[in-house]
Amino acid sequence: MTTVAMSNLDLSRIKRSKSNSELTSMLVEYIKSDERLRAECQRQGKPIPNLRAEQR
Amino acid sequence: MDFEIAKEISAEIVAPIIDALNGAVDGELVRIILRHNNGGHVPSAFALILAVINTKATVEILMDRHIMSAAAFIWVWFAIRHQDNVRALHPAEPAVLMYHRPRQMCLDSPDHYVFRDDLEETHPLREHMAVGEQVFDTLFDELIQALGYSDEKEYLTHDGAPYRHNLSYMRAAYYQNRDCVLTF
Repeated sequence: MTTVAMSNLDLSRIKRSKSNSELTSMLVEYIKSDERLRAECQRQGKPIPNLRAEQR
Repeated sequence: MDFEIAKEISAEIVAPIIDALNGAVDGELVRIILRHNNGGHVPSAFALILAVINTKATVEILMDRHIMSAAAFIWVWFAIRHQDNVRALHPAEPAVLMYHRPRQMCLDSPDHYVFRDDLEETHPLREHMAVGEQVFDTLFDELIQALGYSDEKEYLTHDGAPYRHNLSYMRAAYYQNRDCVLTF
């Protein structure tokens, strides 16, 4: 673990590698992938990942 | 309208906030307060971010005490990716933000995690986790740049000794799947 003090963020220093639309598309892709994963687990009768162990 | 998200991020917790954001009218103020939140379900954090991006409301995202993992990701997204109707506000009191790469908790033990790097090429979780990891990594790189990190500033030689930027150490820790703590 490393710790750094949070100073004011200077957004002009950022060199963007992905646009907002590219990143938001990835959020959507991840949500859909999670839904597929959950559906597949349900189909196979397996526990669903991402639930906390105590919620099984 | 104020919504407090304490302790964790889950589908049940974010659902009423997403509904409110989707139904909001122009100029309506929605405040989301992330309070002593340990994070949790990454797809729910992503769904909440998408709702904030698409809402007609004016949104303020506040944090209190500590926010970690998926909760930290929500605050960092809007602190780094500017949007006219959304503000990620710095806390008024001392607070801590902990950021790390997305990881999957073992269903047999909450003490055991797996990161994408640990999975074999053919494992079904690997491709799924890769998408989340790319998003977390992109935002982390932008966060440390906004804080002052750049390749050019990585080392500073003084009196014959190679001093290294503190954010360079943090970057190395992050990409080794370790926790990174930022204090306010």
